Amino acid sequence: MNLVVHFVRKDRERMRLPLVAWYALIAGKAWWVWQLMRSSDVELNLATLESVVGVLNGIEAVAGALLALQMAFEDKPWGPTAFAATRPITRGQLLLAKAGGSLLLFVVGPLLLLTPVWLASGFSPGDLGLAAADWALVQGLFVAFGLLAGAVARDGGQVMVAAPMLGGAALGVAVYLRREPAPPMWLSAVLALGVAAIGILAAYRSRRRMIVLAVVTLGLLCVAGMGLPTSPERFDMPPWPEADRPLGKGETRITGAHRWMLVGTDNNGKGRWVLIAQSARPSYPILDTLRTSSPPRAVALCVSASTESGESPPLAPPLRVGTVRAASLSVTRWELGLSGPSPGHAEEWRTLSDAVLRLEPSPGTAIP
Amino acid sequence: MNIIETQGLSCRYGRHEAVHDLDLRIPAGGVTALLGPNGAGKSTTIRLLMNLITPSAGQARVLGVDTRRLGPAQFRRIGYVSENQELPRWMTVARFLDHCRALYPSWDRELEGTLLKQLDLPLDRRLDQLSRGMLMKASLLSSLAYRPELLVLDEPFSGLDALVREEFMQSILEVSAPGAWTVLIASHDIEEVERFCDRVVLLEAGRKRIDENTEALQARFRRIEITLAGEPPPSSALPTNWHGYERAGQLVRFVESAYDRAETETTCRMLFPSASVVAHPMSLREIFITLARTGRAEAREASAA
Repeated sequence: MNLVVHFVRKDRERMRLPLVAWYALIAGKAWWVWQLMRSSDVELNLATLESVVGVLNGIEAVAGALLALQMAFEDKPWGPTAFAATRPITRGQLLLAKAGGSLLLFVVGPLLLLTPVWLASGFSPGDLGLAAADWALVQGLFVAFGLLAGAVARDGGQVMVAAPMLGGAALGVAVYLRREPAPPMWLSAVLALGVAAIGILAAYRSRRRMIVLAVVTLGLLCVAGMGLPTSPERFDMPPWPEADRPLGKGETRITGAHRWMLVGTDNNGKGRWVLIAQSARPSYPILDTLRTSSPPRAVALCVSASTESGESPPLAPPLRVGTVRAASLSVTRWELGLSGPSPGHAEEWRTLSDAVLRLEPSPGTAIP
Repeated sequence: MNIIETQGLSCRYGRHEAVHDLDLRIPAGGVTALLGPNGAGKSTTIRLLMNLITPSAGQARVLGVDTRRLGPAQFRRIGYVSENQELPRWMTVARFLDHCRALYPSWDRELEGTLLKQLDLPLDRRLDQLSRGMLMKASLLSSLAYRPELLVLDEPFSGLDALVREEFMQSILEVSAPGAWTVLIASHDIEEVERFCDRVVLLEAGRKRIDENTEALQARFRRIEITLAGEPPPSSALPTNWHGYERAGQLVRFVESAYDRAETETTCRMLFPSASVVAHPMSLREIFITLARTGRAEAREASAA
């Protein structure tokens, strides 16, 4: 056990700088999304931010895999030049050190960083558990494949060649077979994680790399053969506890980690005035599919506006401007415009600038 | 007791057989040199012995254990230094020694200190900032400080200057009393190895050509020079243990690989009755070159046939 801890400490020291950078990315992104939840800046363009954050999410996941890959490369279990292979440490201890170290540094560490953000966002214990499990599943998958690649590949070049080929083959199989109904993402993720775990165990037990690679490839193609996993977007919100109290501009309604904010009025760039509303909620892209197989693409609230003069101008269905998802938080901005033809620039402005929102429980408003 | 034993050990890389049917018996104590030209199979043999690669046939035992079952108990007793080993180059020398120290319960701090002084290693420098010689010295220190019973060195001298070689060898020789441990050293640098090895195993194209005590080997090899007194070339075939026979005017030269003073002289007299015969002792390097040339010539003849 001492040797296992010794190697974990050594790897932590080795990974110190990239690890700090990676943690900074995770924490920074989470803090930024948390800030975004509170932002009343009407000008904020969530459509652009959506893609930027999407890229950052990708970098975060791939960086986790690369760190795990580097950790495995540090002490290869096999190979004619492997240092650890001629030292008094068993391959079992080495596997324990690498798997345990990866779990601690690349899964538990980031979760500890994210927990304060989740708590500050009003996550219930249930939300917290789901968010942690979801994040751990996604990141665990990347880390596991990084570790597997590090145990099987001879060098980084082999990984760079083999990983896209394997990924492409799996995608090709999934697309070619087009299995319907497609499996939920959680199932595919769990099965792929299982394949990676078997591969890692085999790679540390046997030096027959080609057999290990064949088993992993076959396993992944079987998982891909089940179909392209899906994780439909969910926009449902929980029942509103104060449905009769209208939401004024800059005001926020919070139920646990779910919040609505009426950000303000803005010109939508197409010559029409719209109300900008923002909804935020915990988001578990993988585990959401565990809770329901066909999540509604709807806001489970009836959104209506009323003005000071008591008018209730007819609103068009909410139009989603953009959704930023990071650190198990999802922030969506909506445009609420008047339905029908514009009554005229000044009239439209007057109607909407006075408007307050009413959010009432309803079967749901379809998202266009 | 043999500390290393192999039986029919073979290793193939695709169609190329790097080691062929190798039988080795290396007794405990002493320094054995595994010699051979580049590509002779020395490093492959060492890697097979260290269980870094799997044999395609045969088996090997190190410290009485099948190499495929070598574990921590055996590696605590083995020191391995190789030019190709992937050391954790991001570590400083001090950190590297810390790392290795934790692996060996028998690590001797006092010896570590002595070796550090002797090898003149900078503790605060990272391994990736060290010269090749310094790196090899750091690797050697990490493999000597726990006083292994078996020290395996794979091409430790390649690329090192004379001073570093000297320091390197001094450290090995001074750490332990003669016979207290076994050293197996694979090298193509025969002159360096010649000074201290007790036993020589010569590999050529993956096959064992010589496995002999150094003194016995040097005793049976002689460079013979015969000054003729007008004798014609010998009419009968030359003995098979005469290698590299050449005649330049009145001078005949060859290498005798089964030298016995009386017997060699008798044979020479039979072929060159009135010539004067002088036998010169040979260095390991000269013996090695002779054998390598003979081997090549034989191979050429075999392929021509």
